[in-house]
Amino acid sequence: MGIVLALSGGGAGAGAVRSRGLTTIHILNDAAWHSPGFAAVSAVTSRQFGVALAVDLYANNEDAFQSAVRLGLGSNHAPPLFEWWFGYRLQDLASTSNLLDLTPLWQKYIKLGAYNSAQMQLFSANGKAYGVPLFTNYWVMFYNVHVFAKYHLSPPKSWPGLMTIATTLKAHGVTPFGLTTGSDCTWCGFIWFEELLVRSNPLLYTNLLAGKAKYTDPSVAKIMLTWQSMINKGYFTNPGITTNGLLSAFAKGQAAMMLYGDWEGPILTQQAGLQPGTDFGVFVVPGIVPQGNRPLIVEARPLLVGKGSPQQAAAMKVADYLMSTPGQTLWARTLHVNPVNLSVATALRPSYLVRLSQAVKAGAYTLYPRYWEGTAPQLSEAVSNLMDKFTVHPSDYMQILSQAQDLANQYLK
Amino acid sequence: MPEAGVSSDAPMRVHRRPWSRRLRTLSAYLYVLPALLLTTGILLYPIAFTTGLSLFRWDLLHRAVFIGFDNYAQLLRDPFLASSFSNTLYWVVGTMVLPVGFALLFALLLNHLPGRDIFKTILFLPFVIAPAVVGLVWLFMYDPSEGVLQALLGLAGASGLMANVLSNSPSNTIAMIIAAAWRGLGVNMVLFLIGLQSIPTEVLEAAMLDGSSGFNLFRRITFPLLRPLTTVVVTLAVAAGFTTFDFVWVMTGGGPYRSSETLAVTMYRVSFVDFNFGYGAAIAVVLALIVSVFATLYVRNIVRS
Repeated sequence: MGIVLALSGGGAGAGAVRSRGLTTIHILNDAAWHSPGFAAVSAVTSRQFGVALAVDLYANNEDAFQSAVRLGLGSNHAPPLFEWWFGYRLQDLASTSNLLDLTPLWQKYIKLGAYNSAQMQLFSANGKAYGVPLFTNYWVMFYNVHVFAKYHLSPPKSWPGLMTIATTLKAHGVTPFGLTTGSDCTWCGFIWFEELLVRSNPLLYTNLLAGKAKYTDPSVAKIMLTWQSMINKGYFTNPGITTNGLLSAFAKGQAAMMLYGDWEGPILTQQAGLQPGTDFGVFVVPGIVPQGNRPLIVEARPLLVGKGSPQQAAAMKVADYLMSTPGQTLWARTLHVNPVNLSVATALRPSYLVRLSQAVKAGAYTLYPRYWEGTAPQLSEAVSNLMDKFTVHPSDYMQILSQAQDLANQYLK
Repeated sequence: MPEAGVSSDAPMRVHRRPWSRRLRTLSAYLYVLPALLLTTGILLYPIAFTTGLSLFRWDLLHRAVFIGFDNYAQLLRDPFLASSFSNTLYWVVGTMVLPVGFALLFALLLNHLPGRDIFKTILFLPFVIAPAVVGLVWLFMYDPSEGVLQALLGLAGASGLMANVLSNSPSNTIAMIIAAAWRGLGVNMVLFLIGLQSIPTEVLEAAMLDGSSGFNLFRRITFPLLRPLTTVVVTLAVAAGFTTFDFVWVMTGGGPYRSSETLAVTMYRVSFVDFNFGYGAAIAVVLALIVSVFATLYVRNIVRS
């Protein structure tokens, strides 16, 4: 069961609440750290539109959160607003016709130059935009600035450069790459699989997501051998390391680099006290082949509007505000995240992402969806678990790829 | 007069008896009604609903589709179910041997020990912690980088022993059983202590006068007298072993690649991760049948003997 957090005057509780001209609508989500953002938005929407927000929080309980959304969506009291994932997971919900089409809202803001159509695609399914953009996160390598400085290293420009850094660090007793794949992060198995694949063969990555290529393809096997060789050289932390253990190892300089979405930045600051620039920096992993330099893995976080909700009109007011430049400014400033809206002042963007955001805006990168949302959900769950197994038994790579292909045959019909 | 009295009262009695009987019957039903409603609401209805659900395909998003016994047929083809079943058996054996076997041993040792209440309290304390929290504590203890067990083994020069304990099968299952045993031992020990203290001393003294002592006394007198309590403890332990979920979900999530899943974890994963509620319900039905059959056979056997 979720926890209801009332974020502004107007009270809390299940269902529609309307008192003294203030309507309270509920937002279902599973990430506690988003709550201050919704509280800030609620304060403004209460004042401007008489719509307050209350968060139904399913903290660290994705299964219960998904069940609540799935059960509510088809009913006549569908959640007015709820967070979700993009890609295939969004398609799953869109296929039920229970989501409100937000394409007109997107078109309005695209005309104003606040967004572009490529961004709209990330929040769309079956040709319609359904998501209010809360985040777009780029997947980058976080590195410990002090460790790099100690061994006179700088962010690499090429794959051999990255491997030289890894060798140097290993020789000095520092684990080059941190990776959690155990129970603490059952989904993390796909991270390096995805990165090595897209840096080696972007087209193969796209085809694999869509079921147009096979996991047993020799090119995929070659990528697994690259990963296997890195594991065998001791470039990764022990697979059983917990998320907190890894955070601590990174902060202490025992693990020098971690591959994550840029959302890891606020976590490093809030939980480990590390400051961007002085304690940690980011770089995009260089391509293993030249065409591997172009891709940038992206994940998007949409806020969806339930079509069957009796509070649809109020939800639309919040959606409109959240897409506007003032709304995105408030959201990004409160949560210290990269705003999706292109009109938000650069000064508000996290310092370590400014250059990357500008490069994306200038078209220096081609965006590829994160594996987790880029393929069928059951497949991404299972393959992540398989890759988790690979980190412990790297010699079993062909058996693992074969099992992955069996799953792909099952889920990507 | 008396005869007249009898004859005049008789029709009244004929009328009063059925009415009072009916009232008594009705009041008896009223007494059991709350329990009946509760049992129906929280036990019989879910059993009927789950059994019915096992005949459907349902992902909570789309309309449920009736597929007959397909989910049960899938059980036979599912490669993960065999490993889930064998892991569940590990748990059943593990929860019998460690928390029950050691609890009996500790109870025997503590039974005549002065100051046993202190030991009893210390050993009982873990039981008041929620299983999920115990799982988290042991997860951190097993952490290969910062875990206390790793540090202790490091001091002994054997740090490699713990490096992948939760990442390999079956070491992950064994490691989790140890965590569960740490929690469950205390309560079983207290139950056995109660049993030991309720054995009449005359019986033991008589046996000792007849020359019985040590293991022989335990085997022939103490253990048979503990049998009713042992039945309860073992039945509860076996049921807990068959339905193990929290430790596995918290400590390994059933991984890596479902290698440490138990039947209960598989049921949960299939239902709430894959959103295949019909198949999850089929696993639940089979699991419930296994536990029921075991419990019935075991209790019947004990009662007979």
